[in-house]
Amino acid sequence: MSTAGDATRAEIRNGASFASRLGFAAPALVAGGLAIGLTALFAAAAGADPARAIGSLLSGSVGSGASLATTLLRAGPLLLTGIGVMLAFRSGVFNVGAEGQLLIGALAATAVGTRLGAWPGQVVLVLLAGAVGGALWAAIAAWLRARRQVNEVITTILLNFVALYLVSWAVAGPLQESGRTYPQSDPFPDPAMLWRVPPGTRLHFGLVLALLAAIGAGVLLSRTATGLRLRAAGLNPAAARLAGFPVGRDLLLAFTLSGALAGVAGAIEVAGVTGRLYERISTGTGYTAIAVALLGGLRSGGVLLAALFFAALATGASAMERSAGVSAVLALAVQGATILIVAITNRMSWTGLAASSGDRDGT
Amino acid sequence: MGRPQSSADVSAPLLEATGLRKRFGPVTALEGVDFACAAGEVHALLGENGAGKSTLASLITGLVRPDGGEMRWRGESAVWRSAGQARGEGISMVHQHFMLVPTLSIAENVALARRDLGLLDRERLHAEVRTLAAERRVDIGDPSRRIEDLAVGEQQRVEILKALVVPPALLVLDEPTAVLVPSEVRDLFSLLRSLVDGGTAIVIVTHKLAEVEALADRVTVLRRGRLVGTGPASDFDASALARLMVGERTRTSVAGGDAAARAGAVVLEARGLSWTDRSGGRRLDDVSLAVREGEILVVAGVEGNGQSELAAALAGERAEGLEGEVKLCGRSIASPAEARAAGLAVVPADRRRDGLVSELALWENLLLARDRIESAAPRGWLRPSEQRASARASLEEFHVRPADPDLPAAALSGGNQQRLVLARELSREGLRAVVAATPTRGLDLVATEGVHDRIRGLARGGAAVLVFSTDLDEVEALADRILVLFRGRIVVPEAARPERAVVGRLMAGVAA
Repeated sequence: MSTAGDATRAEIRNGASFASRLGFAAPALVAGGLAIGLTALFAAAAGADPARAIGSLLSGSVGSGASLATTLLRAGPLLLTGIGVMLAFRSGVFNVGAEGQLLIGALAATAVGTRLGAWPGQVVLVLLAGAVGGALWAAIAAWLRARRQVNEVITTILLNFVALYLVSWAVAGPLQESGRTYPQSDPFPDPAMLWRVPPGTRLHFGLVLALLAAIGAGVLLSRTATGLRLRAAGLNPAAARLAGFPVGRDLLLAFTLSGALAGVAGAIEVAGVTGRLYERISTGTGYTAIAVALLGGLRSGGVLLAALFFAALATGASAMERSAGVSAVLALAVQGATILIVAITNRMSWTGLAASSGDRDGT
Repeated sequence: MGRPQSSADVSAPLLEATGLRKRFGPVTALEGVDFACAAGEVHALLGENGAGKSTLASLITGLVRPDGGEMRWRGESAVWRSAGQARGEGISMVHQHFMLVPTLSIAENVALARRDLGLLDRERLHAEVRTLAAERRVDIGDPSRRIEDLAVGEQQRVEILKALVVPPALLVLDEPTAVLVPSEVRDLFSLLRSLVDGGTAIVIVTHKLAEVEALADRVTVLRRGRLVGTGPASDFDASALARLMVGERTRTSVAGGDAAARAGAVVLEARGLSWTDRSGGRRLDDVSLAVREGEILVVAGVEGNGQSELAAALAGERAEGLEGEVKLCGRSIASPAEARAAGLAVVPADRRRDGLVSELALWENLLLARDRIESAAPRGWLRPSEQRASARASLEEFHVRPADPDLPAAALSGGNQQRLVLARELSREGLRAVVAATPTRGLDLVATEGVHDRIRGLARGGAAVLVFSTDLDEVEALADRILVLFRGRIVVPEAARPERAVVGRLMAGVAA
């Protein structure tokens, strides 16, 4: 019939396949380049030597074994929470409560790690406690959304504060160290700590878990019937309902799974890095996770790269402060500016979000 | 009966268009349409959904530009580059979907249409809007009220007042009564009449025949993008208009009618379905019907008489406040999931909204039915390569072009999206019942025949089939039995398969 129409469709198809095969990496790669350029610019504006600033940013984030390890350790929780946010957003659930879910996960993990003695294999239960804690915390908002039509953006944000104060209370109360000196928990006993992978380094098994979660979430969404149902509900809830899909149940599933991943992120932070629960165990990881998920185009591979990028930027910034005399606050400016520019130049992830957040309950 | 008249006999036309043509991609929305309207008269633009009346309204008001034809405004050749330009020339439009900011007050919304109103001085603004409303005789009440607190009819009056801030020479209203309850319709009509008495020309886009009788001086009927009748409203009675709207083509293949031989037990049943929308409009009024095994029941009716509400209810949706019961194979149905599980296939009226997910690939869209996804992935694992292969076969069988399973549904034209939904719903195994709303809308004749054949085949195979149709040809081609839906009520013709003239009159609400 119309060859012009067919040609257009072919273009659309090529566009789609390009985006699905390569596109996921593009935003994070562009962001990397942008960050370097912006750092030079900002450093020069702040009166420092741009070349030196960039040098220390790079060497301080990926330039040595030690800095690379720090970057990876930061990337772990970012990846887990970012994947959680991705799962939620793709399913039409605007879960912005990864921060609270992470905190409750850390809290539950600490309870199991420091209050139930020490026994072989304890770390498995610690991780499980983190997952269950995060999932239950998310389930509150999920239940309110599914049964009471309460907007989850509001509930999850508010629950973040509740979680923060719960942790504050716990580390000065029931979970406080035996010495009762500082607002922190007892140290985790050895069997409650994550295995070092590879042994002898600071890296731990939690990073492997994060990578598995990213792969698993990608497989779940693209290769399973459940994933197709979740995506359909996220993109067009009315059609999903009419298809006879259990949209209410699927919403609960996506929400709690998202919370569980954030909870595990909290667990691997206490059981893999700090070995204790502090009041300020998370420095906004759950919020950065939203940027990670969006910059990653809501695709597993993209989220992985975005998590590494944000982790490297944060690690490199502290190195830059030490050696080039540029304030680490500058990294925040670079982070913000990078997200903005990527968001403006690459609308994909954001339009995807708009599609998934709009008209969710179309009844 | 409407003989197409030349528009030359309109006294001093304000707007005169000849040979208007508009295409959207491969779809011809308008072809060679003439249109004229004069000051001080109401011109009704009548037609089914998709007939091209909204496109014509958009051309007149500068929202879209014609691909061909000529337009003259006050006797001079005019090409609108934008809606703003048309507005400047005195052409205003009241859209079907209100362009109001719900969280702002009436006065603030009106001020948005007229920038010289003092936004900062609230008292002065309210006084000015009150004066404006009094001058234009639009009753809006207290202008400090917020839009979101108003009834739909009140919101519409605000929208009309916005259009009248600078008195237009021509006011176009797109389906203005679609959302109104009868008392609001009366108020709207008296408002429009007072405007016409003041010399304004009014074009009202509608598919409701009663409105033409109540309001219009002239009428133009479009069908499938073409002009099928125009002239003084007094030349047409309701049944003539109904015939013009739905068409009078004769067709060779007429089937059906032998259902009595095969009709068995009742499969799909509705009892006492009633539903009132938020603004108080009674969309469904005590609807009861039953479809038997092997039978095709066609519910005929002009769009907007409760079809989409009834179709949704039969698909298992329990809208808030829905009364009555839907039963499938004797079991009461409370959700689409239950309806699907009981073997129901659904072709929704609005397929873009309810029938597919534009961003997903065609093969994924073919799995968007509970039983389909369960049989495709019995242990939960999709096998995309297998699914693509079977999707390709299915797409080819239903002539979806292009039959490429990896394309997103958004890349298909409207007719092909329709075929996609049909491919999913009508080729399922274990079907007990089918609810299909205007299943052939957007399809050409050959494809329509194909779909009709398949629907008959499903009925022969024992499925209970219910088809909503606005097209008399389709009604005749498919029906074993005909019911008419008018203003939310079921009208039962005396005969099981009444003559098409009788059906047309019932659809128009004229006593048979």
